[in-house]
Amino acid sequence: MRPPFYVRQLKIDLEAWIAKGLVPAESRDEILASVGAGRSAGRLETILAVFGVILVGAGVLSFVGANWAAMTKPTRLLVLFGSMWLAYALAIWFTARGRELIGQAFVLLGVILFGSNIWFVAQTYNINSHYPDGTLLWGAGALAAAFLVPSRAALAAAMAIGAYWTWQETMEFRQPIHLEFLVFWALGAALAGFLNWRPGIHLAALALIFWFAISFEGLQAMLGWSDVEILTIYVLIPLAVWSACQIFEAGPNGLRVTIGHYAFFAFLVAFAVLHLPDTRPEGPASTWLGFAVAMSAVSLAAVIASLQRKGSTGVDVAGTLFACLATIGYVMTVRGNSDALDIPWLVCTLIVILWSISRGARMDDRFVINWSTVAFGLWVLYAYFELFAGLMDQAVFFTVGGILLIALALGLENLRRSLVAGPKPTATSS
Amino acid sequence: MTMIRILIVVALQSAALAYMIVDRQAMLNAGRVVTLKVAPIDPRDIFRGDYVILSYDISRLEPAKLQGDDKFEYGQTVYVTLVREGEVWNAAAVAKDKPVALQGGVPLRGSVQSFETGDGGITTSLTVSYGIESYFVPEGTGRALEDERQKGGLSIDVAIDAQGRGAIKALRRGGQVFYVEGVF
Repeated sequence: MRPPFYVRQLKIDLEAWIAKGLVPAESRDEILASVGAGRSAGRLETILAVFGVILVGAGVLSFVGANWAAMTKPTRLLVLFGSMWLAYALAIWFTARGRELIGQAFVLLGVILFGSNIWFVAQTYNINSHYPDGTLLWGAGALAAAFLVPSRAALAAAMAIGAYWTWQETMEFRQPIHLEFLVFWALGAALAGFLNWRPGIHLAALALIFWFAISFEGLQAMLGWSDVEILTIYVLIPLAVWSACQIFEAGPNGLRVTIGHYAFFAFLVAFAVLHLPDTRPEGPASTWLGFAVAMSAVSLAAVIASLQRKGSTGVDVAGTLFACLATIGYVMTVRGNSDALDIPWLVCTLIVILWSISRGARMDDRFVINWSTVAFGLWVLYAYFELFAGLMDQAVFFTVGGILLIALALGLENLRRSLVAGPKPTATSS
Repeated sequence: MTMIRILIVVALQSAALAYMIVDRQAMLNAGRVVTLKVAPIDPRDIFRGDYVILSYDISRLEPAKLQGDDKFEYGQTVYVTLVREGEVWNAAAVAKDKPVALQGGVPLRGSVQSFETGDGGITTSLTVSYGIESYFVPEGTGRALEDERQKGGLSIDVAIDAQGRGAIKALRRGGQVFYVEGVF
């Protein structure tokens, strides 16, 4: 099934093509059916049902909380287990009557009640151990429900619970790097792929980025690198992933496109903020240089391998090489908390943004174009407010930058026209 | 088919919850029970919601005064060997990998919450959590329990299983048991 925006656009285009006689009118329904149009009829029903079970879940929890002190332990257990069993019984009942969406909503309610029951049982029996283990147990129960039923709603809950678990372990218990989360994540991501569920793939990508982001201090403790050296991990690994994604054709579930988009986003954000943290006064660690060169080589190899695909060109090789060299060069050059390189880095960031827009345009990738454009807007605002003390400096910077961009646009347009026109016919003598 | 699958989910999740209860009951039925004196703590932070925070004499240790190891790290699992001194039990040794065996001693497992170091990286003081630091009480009864604790008259019985895990088995006021944990 294609994304909704694609289906909407296809419907508009189809009408125009039929009006022009490019497509026979009798093919309309077959074409739309091939991209999954009309299958979202139950969406409102699903949303209402999910909202409903969340409210019911909140109601059950409030009821239990309000009467907690008055209940004996057997009554508590009866209420806790009974409410969970009732939710799953209703899931079975609705599913058996062909109301799968409502049934899925009650599976989600069962998962929510399973989690609350863990905490209520722990409270009743004064189980006061390592509490992230309770969150892990909840996530495992949600994953089991997602796999066995199978249930997309339970999978979404599992990914959110998993992210909360790794937050607890990393931020509240200062675990250096919570590698156990990767096992949980891999199971969830594999299940999202198995269920062929695009939002699940998005959730998996977001959960991984979340884990990656909160592991900053853990990576620093493990590697002994400075802030800026650690930040290059967030630049170079996503760049390598984004480049690698260009090697493969987009599959029907959009997995390659989705992974590429999130990798691009992470790369662009990390590249833009690379100049903010401090580095060590004596320069980078030797182990860092080995990492940076290796990841740069992977990125370049991937983008060269993707040249065979339509859209990837020598510009992308040059852009990737520039991004890698700029990253390595910056870390090799900057010392301590110096801001002397802020202006050169601003120029480098602009070049990377322009390359991203160019790549997005050639790959016909709206995500890359849109976020690169947003990045450009933010870049202008940052340059305006942060870097120049005087209005005259700002005027010179923006005017020269604008003239250069216009000149670049004209040059590219001329190049495109000459390529589209092809070689001039040679004069022949009669 | 879907019904069977959902029933499997129900069975798995119910089994997980039941295991929590059974495991706790198994710990409470463990043969070794020690009595710990509850230490008064800062009354501004002691009562949150419907549970009281409990601190013990064995929560804060000075490794130099005990047998066992003298260097510890955050989050590390430690075994504190308790020996009986009159009506209550106190720490006699603290070790990282395996408990120090002492005549009549009972090892209790905990994890390092914080520590201070002196010369040569020697740990001078150690705060250890044993999983028995909070106790849920019926709404409205926490204040009386706090008052008793602040007077120094509160102690608890802790059941310790073969792995060294501890669970609150009973509460004592002035040495007399006034509450006993159970399944029902």
